[in-house]
Amino acid sequence: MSKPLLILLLLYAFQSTYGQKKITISGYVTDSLSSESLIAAAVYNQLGVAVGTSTNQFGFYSLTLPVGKVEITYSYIGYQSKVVQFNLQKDTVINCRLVGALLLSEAVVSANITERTAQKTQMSSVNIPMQQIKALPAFLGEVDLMKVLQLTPGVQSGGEGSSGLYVRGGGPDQNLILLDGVPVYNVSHLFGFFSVFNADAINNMELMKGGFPARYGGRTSSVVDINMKEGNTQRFHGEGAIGLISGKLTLEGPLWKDRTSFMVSGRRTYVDLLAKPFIAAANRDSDDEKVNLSYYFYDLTAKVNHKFSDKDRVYLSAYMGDDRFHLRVEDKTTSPYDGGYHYNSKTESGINWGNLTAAFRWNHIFTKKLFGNTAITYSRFRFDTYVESREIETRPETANRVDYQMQYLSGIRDWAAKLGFDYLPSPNHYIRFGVNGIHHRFSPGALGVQSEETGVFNEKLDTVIGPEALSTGEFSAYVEDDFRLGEHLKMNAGVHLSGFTVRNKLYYNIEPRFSTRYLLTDYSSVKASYARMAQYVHLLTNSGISLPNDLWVPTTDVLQPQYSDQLAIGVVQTFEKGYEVSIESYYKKMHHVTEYKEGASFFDAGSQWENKILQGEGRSYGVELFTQKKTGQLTGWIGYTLAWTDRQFEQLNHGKRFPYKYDRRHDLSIVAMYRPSKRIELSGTWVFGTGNAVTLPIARIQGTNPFVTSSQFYNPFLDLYSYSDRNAYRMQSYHRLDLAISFIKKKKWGERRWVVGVYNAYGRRNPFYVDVKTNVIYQPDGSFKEATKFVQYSIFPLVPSISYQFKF
Amino acid sequence: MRTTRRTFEKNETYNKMKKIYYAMLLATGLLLAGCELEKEIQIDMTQTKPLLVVSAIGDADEGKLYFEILQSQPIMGEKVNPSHVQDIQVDLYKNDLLVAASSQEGTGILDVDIVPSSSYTLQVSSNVHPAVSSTVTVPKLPLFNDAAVDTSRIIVRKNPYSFDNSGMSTIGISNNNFFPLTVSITDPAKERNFYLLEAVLHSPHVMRGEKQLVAIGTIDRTLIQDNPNVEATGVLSDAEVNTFVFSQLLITDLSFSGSTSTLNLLLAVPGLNFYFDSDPDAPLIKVTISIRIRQVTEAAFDYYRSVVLQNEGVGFFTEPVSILSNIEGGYGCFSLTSSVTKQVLEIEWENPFYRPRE
Repeated sequence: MSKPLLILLLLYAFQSTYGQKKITISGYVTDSLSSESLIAAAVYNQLGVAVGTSTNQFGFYSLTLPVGKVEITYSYIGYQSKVVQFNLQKDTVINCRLVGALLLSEAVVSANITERTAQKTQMSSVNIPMQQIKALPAFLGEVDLMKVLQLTPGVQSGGEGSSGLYVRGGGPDQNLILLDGVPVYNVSHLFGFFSVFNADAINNMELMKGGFPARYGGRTSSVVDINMKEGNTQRFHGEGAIGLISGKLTLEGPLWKDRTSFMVSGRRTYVDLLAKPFIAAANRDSDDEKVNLSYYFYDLTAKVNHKFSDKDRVYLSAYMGDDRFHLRVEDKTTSPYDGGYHYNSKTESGINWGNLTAAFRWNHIFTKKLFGNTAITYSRFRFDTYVESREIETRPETANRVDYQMQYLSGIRDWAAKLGFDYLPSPNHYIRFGVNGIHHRFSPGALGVQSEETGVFNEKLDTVIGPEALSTGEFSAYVEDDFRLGEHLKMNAGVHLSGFTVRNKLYYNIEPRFSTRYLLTDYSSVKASYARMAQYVHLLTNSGISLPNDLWVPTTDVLQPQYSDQLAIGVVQTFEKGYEVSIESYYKKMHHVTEYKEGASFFDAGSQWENKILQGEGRSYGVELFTQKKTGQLTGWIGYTLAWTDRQFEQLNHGKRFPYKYDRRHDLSIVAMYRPSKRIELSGTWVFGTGNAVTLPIARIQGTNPFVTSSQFYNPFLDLYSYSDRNAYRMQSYHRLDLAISFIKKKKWGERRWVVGVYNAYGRRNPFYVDVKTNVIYQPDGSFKEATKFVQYSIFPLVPSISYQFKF
Repeated sequence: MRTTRRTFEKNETYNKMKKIYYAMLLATGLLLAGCELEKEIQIDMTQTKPLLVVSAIGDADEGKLYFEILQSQPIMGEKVNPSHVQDIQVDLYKNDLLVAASSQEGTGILDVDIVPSSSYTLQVSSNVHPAVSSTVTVPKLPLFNDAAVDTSRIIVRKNPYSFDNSGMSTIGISNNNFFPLTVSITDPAKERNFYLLEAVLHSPHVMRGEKQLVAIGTIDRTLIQDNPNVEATGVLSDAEVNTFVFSQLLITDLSFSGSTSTLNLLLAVPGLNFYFDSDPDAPLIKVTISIRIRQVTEAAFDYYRSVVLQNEGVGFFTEPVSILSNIEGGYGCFSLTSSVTKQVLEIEWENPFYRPRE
């Protein structure tokens, strides 16, 4: 950005305060019991012209007002509002602790919600309280943040059970998923059936589908900003659960009261432990071959934060999670024939994948109006598969031993540094600016093979095949201002400048961001936004489920950066008793979206991956309706999306535009939570979606190998298919009902809760995959005929679950 | 130890929890195992008319064009195998002059001189299908300079794994007999070229006096270690063993475009067993191995790749692959190649099964 422009911007920021005597109130807003920061809590002066602000992601706020009497209201959904009256004469620090008001009457809670969605500039965002998320029915009792987001309009799942997010027609790689500001590259356990986020360790989650503020960048479709709990600074506290497939425990408390706190949370599946006796019993019955199989995943989340002073706080957080699959096969054969023969073999193989993230963050309040956050972060995703074997063959005259080791590794590793500032010169401006730098190291798949044969034959092989690791740099700078122009109009305007260096080539993008809201009444507003987002990393994936060997690859001199332009317009109406209705319409163009070439797949993606990718254009548009009831005994929402999404690639589908695989015309979610008493909580979700688009064979053809003339070999006919246009057909529609009931009981030591749930309560056989099946029909004369039919495969019928949860 | 009421209650709760847990686990397992998760569905398909499917293959060295004319079939319903078409007319033109024709039923051979760099047009017409055609220019002869096998690694020995330790003989060094093979080739600049390397074994057949051409396994393309013209990683890019015939290696000139290069390959020969194959009339067993390089057209190469990729499809993990074709108005492939062959190995040894005729 040029210097004159920067000066103009600064002058503009200061102009509204110049010449007036103003005083600043600042501080943090936290939960009175847990001392967790309350993010986006409203802080309002109700005397004179109502002006206010909201807390940032660390719970910090700053409000500059004229001297004189003030009546400051602190409010947050689900909490009892707090009002402070005093005569403002000098800069003042107020750290406000709000009391959770989940069980207060609707009238009390809703009357105090001064910062309604209608008042905010931000549109296309979803923020669901963690208490609601935990109350929803969950597959096998495992609360899943990503699957809850799939219940909101504009967000779709890939396939049955998948935790991948497809936001407004974008792919799963186009979501920036941040855990304490650190990108998490693979958010799935067990092929996407569970997400890596343990809900007990999370304080807050926000999804943005459009109208992105300038401080976010790096992905084209959405931002999911997840903040871990900070740990209770007042008292020791814990919670945990034992479910059908996993157990988890979270502990938090003060290390130094009001100064230092910690939070540590762990989760592990134990199906492998339960299966052990059965596997051992099976092996006891087998004399020759013994097979040992195990699978589990675990997560470990930890955070420590320390308050040096009212001005300085540091946070150290880390996440580690892995999926581990292991198979051991031992084979022993002895034969008396041929003079005596002994054969021993042992093969160990496994697949491991997982993320490791860490963040060190330092908050410093430079002045009452200037808040700074410095962060150094690390993120790594690794996929590793290996085979190790030893075979020993002994005969009277000879002995031979073969040792073999194979390992395939792929992954991505980031080191990043961030510097961000919040500057609040007056209630009319909230300016954010900062810089980010990331060093990426991509390992798109290297195969190492070692083998040694000794005895009769002596052979040795030690080689590594695959592309070399690639280091790249990504950097960005941003500035944005959320400002008020009169009583009704509020805007957020900013720009995000991003760049990427790879193989001595520099890419850069200027990404303007703009959103505005016009208040029609105190309870309703019209909103509009435009955002350009650029993306320099790409995920090579071609399946509906999240596979660990999906490859993250960088933009290169061959592969262009992706970018998107999104326009959105909407209206929001807030009603009494916590009801809120919003309708949004959007149009999004996606450029340089990636797709595998026909036939290329993750199985061989590691070698020459750049040659296996196509880039094209994408388009998505639609309307979203979101009706929420946020407070009271009955809470929940209805989300409906009517959308169209397509893709166009020069080398696919004869260059014609085709529907995206997850083009879903209608998508409906109904979510309800009801708490008739303090001891019982009921919840249910019902989802309906148009069937996914599929490509199906329309004719059968028989071909031959074009390089074999009949004089050489037998050249058999190969059964082949001629396919329809890409994604020209539809699977059957998808619908499902999930239910859960919680029995809650207060105990001397805390609270316990039994949660009984059922996934797919009416046993709908939802389509997962459609295939062609050929049946052989034998005739009485001995001949046979072959006939073809389409078959649909489902994966989850009715699945019940139970879990025991406790808090102390 | 005295059991207090509290301990008792704790144990009761624990036992209750354990029972509920196992019951739920069992119920879930039974539900998952017992449910029918596959069902036949009806899809309203667009009806397509049958089109001609042409497979026409010829090499300049052989002077013949082999053809198979079939038809496409609707996806649903009974399958006909093979679906040859009756009453067809096959015409082959060289530079617009008719050089061969046939009106056979579905399959046949045309005797024709296939000249490198010349254009040929194949036309197929039928009474019930739309006519199809395809024009191909025969690739130039490949500039195949030389080929050699490292004979120092070849041994002829008795098979240690034979039952009586006397009868069978093999050539090779282990069960996986890899012979280093070098192939020198000059790739013309400014052209995209597609090659097919073939290893061909000539050996005595079990029948007295009869000879047979036999493929001998894989040409492994794993290592190219000392060729400065290939990529730094040392791996021959864009090369793959023919899925259907393991003795064929398909290569594009991606790694050595416009240069004279030596490709270091491994020729894999499975243990050659003469126990059953030896000709009792021959006092000596003689085996030769030749390397043939064929230059193929890009269209044939693309067709082959699409066939392989569709054949290897792995369900919902990949999008289906369309079969590419150079047949206008139909499906299939018209492929003409030019080739050069060089012998790289000749081995002779005493035939243990020689039985002179009386």
